[in-house]
Amino acid sequence: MEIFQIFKIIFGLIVSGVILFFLIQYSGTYTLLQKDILKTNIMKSFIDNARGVYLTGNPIKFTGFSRAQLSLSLDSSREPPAVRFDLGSFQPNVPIFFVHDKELFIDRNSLDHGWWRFYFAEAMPKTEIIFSPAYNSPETWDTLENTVRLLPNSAGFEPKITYSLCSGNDVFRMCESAACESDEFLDFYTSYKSSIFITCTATFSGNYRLVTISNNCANTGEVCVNPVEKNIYIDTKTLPYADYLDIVSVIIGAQNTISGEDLYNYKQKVFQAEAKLAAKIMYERALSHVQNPAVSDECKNAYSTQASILLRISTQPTQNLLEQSKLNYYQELINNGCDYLL
Amino acid sequence: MRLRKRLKAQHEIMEYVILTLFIVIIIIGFVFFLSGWNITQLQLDKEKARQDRALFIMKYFLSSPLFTKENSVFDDTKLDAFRSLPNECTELGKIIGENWFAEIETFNGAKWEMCTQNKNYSAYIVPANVYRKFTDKAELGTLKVGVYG
Repeated sequence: MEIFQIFKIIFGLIVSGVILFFLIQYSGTYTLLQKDILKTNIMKSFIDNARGVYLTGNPIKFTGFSRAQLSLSLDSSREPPAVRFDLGSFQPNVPIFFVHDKELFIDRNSLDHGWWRFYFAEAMPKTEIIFSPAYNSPETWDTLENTVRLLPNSAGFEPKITYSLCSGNDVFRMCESAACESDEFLDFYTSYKSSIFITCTATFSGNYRLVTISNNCANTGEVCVNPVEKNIYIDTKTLPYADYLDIVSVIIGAQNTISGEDLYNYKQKVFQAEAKLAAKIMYERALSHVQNPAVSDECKNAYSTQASILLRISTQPTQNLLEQSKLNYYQELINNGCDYLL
Repeated sequence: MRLRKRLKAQHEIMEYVILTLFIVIIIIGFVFFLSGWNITQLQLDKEKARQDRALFIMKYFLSSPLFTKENSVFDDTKLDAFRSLPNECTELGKIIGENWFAEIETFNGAKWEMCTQNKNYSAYIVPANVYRKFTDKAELGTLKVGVYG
């Protein structure tokens, strides 16, 4: 073999090696970049969809998370709070209570305070929510009903969020249709109000949440709500609840990477920020009515009472004050024709 | 004879070098093309994100009970009240983020400006109604919402 032939082989091997190395390296980087772009697009799409549901109130099915594995967490220390994922974070700028899964049902719901309505989006995968009303009292059924009203209503959509009752080893899926969704459940559960329920001991598989409502939450596991103490027990934590959205946030997050406690803390943050701002706006608005000569004395008095409550809400929006202001709004302002219904 | 062989060898080496150079140029060109494509896409995405944010804030204003009586109908007393707050932009910024502005103007000349700054912006203008609480009348107007940056 000539020296030149040997040179050609060695030269060829070196050059192809260098080119191959470069191409593999580049294609690796490019593939990773594309994966990162995909993950970012999925997150962006989720936030956009949730915002759309929040703004319009039209529920949707979201399947974006089936395209890539993402690990999500909530960062409630930021203002506004952010959703962190593998590559960074997004600020939804609207209240979203969610867990992530391949298929999600996204819905909107609200807390009515009369003069202000707190809207929020909820995203959940196919889930069975099982209530164990182990404490036979009107508070238990009130808590159950008001909690279900704030949970997603997937009627006519996929994936389904279904509801049932449990006592001991018995599970009551009482609806006529196969899927016992929010509205249907609320129609049927009343016939069980007179029954005596005991703590649920049945075992469940798949995606479910077991919510015990009891005056004694020791050893109940999962989520337990004590309507007498107004506390939620989750794992080893005790969280006080002011409204039913506190319970809902814990139920949505239970058994997930974004935990019930994370969502509970997130709820406090977003709710307080919006409640304070709403109270400040409505306080100034009430004052403008009090000072306006065109407003009747009856309405001025009602606005004056409302203003004093709103001023307190604007610094510390407690449930007690919110209920007081709601009552005053409906009884004094709406009934006397001083203001309009939202 | 020996000189001819040497020249042939040099010629072949040159062919090899030129071929390699050619392949390397193609690869580098391909890399530049892909990178350029990605950078353009990212710039487009950034611009789209800015427009999406402006649209979101616009829809937020049109539907939020903080400013409206009902969808697309602003309550003038709520707008006045919001503007009279000492840190209104920071307060609302805690909910929807910062670097935005909103202007509501009726065809009768009433105007509410919120969080306006002297910066470059992308904005949308849509028709909106303003409910005059004390006269119990609605006026036709526009809502202009934009984001800075």
